[in-house]
Amino acid sequence: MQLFEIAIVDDDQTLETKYVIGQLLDNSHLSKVTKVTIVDHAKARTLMEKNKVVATIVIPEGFSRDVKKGLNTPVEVIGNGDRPLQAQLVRHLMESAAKLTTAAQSGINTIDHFLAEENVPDDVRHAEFKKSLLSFSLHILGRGTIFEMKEKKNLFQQDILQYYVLSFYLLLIMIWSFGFLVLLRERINGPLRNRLNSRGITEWKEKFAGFAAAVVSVSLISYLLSLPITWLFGSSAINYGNLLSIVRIVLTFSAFFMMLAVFVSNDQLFLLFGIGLIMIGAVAGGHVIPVVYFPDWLERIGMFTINSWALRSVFDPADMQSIKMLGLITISCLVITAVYLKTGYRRCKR
Amino acid sequence: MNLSIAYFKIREILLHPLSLVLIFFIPLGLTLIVGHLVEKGQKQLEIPIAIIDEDHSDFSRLLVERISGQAKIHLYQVSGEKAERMLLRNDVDSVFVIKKGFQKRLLTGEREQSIEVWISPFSMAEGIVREVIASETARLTSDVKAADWVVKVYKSLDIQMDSSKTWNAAYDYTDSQWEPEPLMTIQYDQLYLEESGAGKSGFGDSPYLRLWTFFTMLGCFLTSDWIVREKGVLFFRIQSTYHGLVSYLIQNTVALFLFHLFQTLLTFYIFVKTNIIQMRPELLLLMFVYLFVCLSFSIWSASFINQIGSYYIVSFLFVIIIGILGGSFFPVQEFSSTLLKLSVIFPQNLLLSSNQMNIQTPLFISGAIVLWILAIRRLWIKR
Amino acid sequence: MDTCDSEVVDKAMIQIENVSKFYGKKPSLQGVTLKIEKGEVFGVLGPNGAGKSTLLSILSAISMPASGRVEINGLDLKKQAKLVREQIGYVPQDIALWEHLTVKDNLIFWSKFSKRRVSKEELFELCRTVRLQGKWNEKVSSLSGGMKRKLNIAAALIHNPDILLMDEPTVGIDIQSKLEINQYIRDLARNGKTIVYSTHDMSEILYLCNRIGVLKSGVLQFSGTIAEAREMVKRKGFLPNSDEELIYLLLQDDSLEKPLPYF
Repeated sequence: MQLFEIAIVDDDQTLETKYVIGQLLDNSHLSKVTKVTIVDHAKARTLMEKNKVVATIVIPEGFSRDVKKGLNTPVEVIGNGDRPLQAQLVRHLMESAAKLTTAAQSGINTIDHFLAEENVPDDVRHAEFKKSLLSFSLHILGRGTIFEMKEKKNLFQQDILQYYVLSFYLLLIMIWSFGFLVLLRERINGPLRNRLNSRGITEWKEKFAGFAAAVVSVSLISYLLSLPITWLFGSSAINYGNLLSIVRIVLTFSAFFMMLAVFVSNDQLFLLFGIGLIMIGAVAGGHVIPVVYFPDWLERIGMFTINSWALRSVFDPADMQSIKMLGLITISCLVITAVYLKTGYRRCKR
Repeated sequence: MNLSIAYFKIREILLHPLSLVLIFFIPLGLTLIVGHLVEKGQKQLEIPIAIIDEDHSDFSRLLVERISGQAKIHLYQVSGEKAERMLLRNDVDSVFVIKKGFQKRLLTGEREQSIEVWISPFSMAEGIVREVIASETARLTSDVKAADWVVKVYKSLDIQMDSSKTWNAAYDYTDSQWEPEPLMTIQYDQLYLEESGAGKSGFGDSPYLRLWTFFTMLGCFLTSDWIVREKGVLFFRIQSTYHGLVSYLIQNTVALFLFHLFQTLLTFYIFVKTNIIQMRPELLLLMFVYLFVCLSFSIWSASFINQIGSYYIVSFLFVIIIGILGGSFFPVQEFSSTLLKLSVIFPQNLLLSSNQMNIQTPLFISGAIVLWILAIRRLWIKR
Repeated sequence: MDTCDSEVVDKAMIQIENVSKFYGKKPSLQGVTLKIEKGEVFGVLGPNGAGKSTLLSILSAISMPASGRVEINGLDLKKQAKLVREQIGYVPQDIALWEHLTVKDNLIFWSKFSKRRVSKEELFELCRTVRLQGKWNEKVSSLSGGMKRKLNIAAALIHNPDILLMDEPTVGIDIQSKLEINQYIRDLARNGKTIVYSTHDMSEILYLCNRIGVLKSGVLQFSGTIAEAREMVKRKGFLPNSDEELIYLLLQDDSLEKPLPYF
């Protein structure tokens, strides 16, 4: 991800706001990807207009005064609509930052309040205030120390890049399986089919031969593509265990699209359905955002896509549930296709 | 010019349900359906995390309660073994273990390493979750710290008090500043460049307009397949007629363009009515330009390909790739500066970026006209 | 060998002077000179790749000659191509129809390509003359091969052209349909249409054509009547037993230099 810039306009210009800004700047997550510049309103506007900053944070005048009084003063965060993803990230981090500031400020306020209640002299109060401001700011800055990080991985996980490479790879397999059948459709015209029929090669034999050809070809292409992936990501990216699962996936996709090809005789409709299903599979199946991040209803839709099972099976080749599910889909598609062709529902019209 | 060919083509499309499906349902219908799902899904995206409370204290329970109240986090409270299995199966993004003695350590000011975080290589959002948990923990530790501070200062100033009572009072006072709302909150606004006074029009991150750019391009490609189907014998014969091939190509494309134009108009109307976009004539104009560019592109591609199956496959891959790189699905240019620079060459940029109506628009229009002429020349000269 | 009639008749419907055409560097037509009169059925013969289709595509103003001059009904092909197109009706070798449209819609659609306005009644009448009136509302994809051929011809007649250019219009159809089509073409000629007819079928040539032209490797080897052809063959020392043999001889690659094994 490219480094993105955030503009801060400090209308309050107090010691406290400088600490608040300091806290913002110190966010380890934020500092990895952002560059913060402190500017005035005019400059912030220019930067936004030129699409140079992702967001502008405006600390309003009287912010520290109000916060000290225990009054809520919202800090304005203006996200750049042209860069919505980055703007949303800034928003989330700012929400946490606001809580951290509240935590610190509430502590500082409490100390000041309790000293004021006991009529402690002003100079002592002021000294305590300055001490507490520093101490609570440091306290907030050290928030990361509460965590102890531990990484856990299984055999097939490496990093998020690997997830997307494999996910895209799987999507390509799906597109190939579909594309192969699209190209196969126009190869056999009416007279040729009649001639094949006269040699005892019926439509269902022809379709299943096409299916077999698709499985072999797509598996081969997939295997060839897996070589550079394995080379790039090491042997655990695609090993023999998941090569087997890739063949299973090719089988499932090819069987599914063959069934679609048999049911839909119009070329454009076949293409339309195919593209629609690939898109639904890509989105609901978790190729873009992993299924676990979906809300429940979308996750349930995802369960109905071949892609979600295929992804599961690639990342965990030993997962029996996905193996069973893919097998079940393949067999169902093949049986439905065979029954449909055998019952003679579809007569060659071409 | 005799427009009866265009008229006939319009009539033919009207009588042909599949053409209507391709022209109207794909761009408009699918945009609305998929856009709705994506928007709903996007809003409701949740980060699934597992939390293990080994401390079973008031503090740990409070922390779990506050985290589970967060909108974007889906919390599973499970045992250690199950959490690990979930993490390795990618069922959760990360696991947080509130270690035994959590409350005790917070009360003594030794907060270090009191929460264990398990992440997997696929964890995407643990950074954000960690900030959320850190801020909730900071609330507790600040309360304690402030209470300790007050008692300490009172003692140093020899102020008479009941330590425990004062501590509790200070603790409660600190925590009370979170209610009814925290001292600091943020007010978030998404600003489109147009509103910043530069007179430009960015159309934001609504998935609808993005998806419309994809589905419209797809619709244009699917409805241009007649060129591939007819370019053999029919075009040859048409060349021997009075009005000829150029007239046929122009009139057919005009007829198709009119349908797509109507679709665009309808889309614009629905988008405005449902507040997806604001009523801005220049946006409608840009949508028309985009449509023109797509149609020219598809006609140009069709003039190259002779097999209908190959045409479909090429179109599909082309539309998907251009869709991804041009930002039809997500603002991809945010991921790299190269893509940001590259985005100017994609027609989606006309609608999705804030720099429309500048030099790019006439460039795209002239480019589309050139493609159009090239396509006609190619189809004509080939004879 | 004769090339063409020497005398110039002003009212010639088609006049081709020294026309050449190349595909890449390969010549497709070389110095062809030819004249076709009004009401004539002129048969273009030649082996595959001899240049028959090229000649017809030039006459139908689909492609332009590289050199030479073509005049159709007094119009210069290069300068007045658009007007020439209104004078001719072109029947391609392949069936050029919209399969997903009905017979009616195909005829209507083709009528849109001409300058002349044609009413639906006229189109139905045309449909009736090619005996497709019963299929008026049926999709072309459901027609038999012979019917499609008839419709393919009818589409060229919509604007009532003076000249018909037919590139093997009866190839691959049943004998009954072929006879019907041939009869119809003869009627058209009787009604004053000039027809240029390319075919491999000897019986069709004999039945339809007043005059024939023989193309070989882009060169017009002979043009004239069947009787003139017989004379020429005789002069070269051959005596064919039938017209079929005569045409067979004309089509031989070795230009009648030596006796053929069959005769």
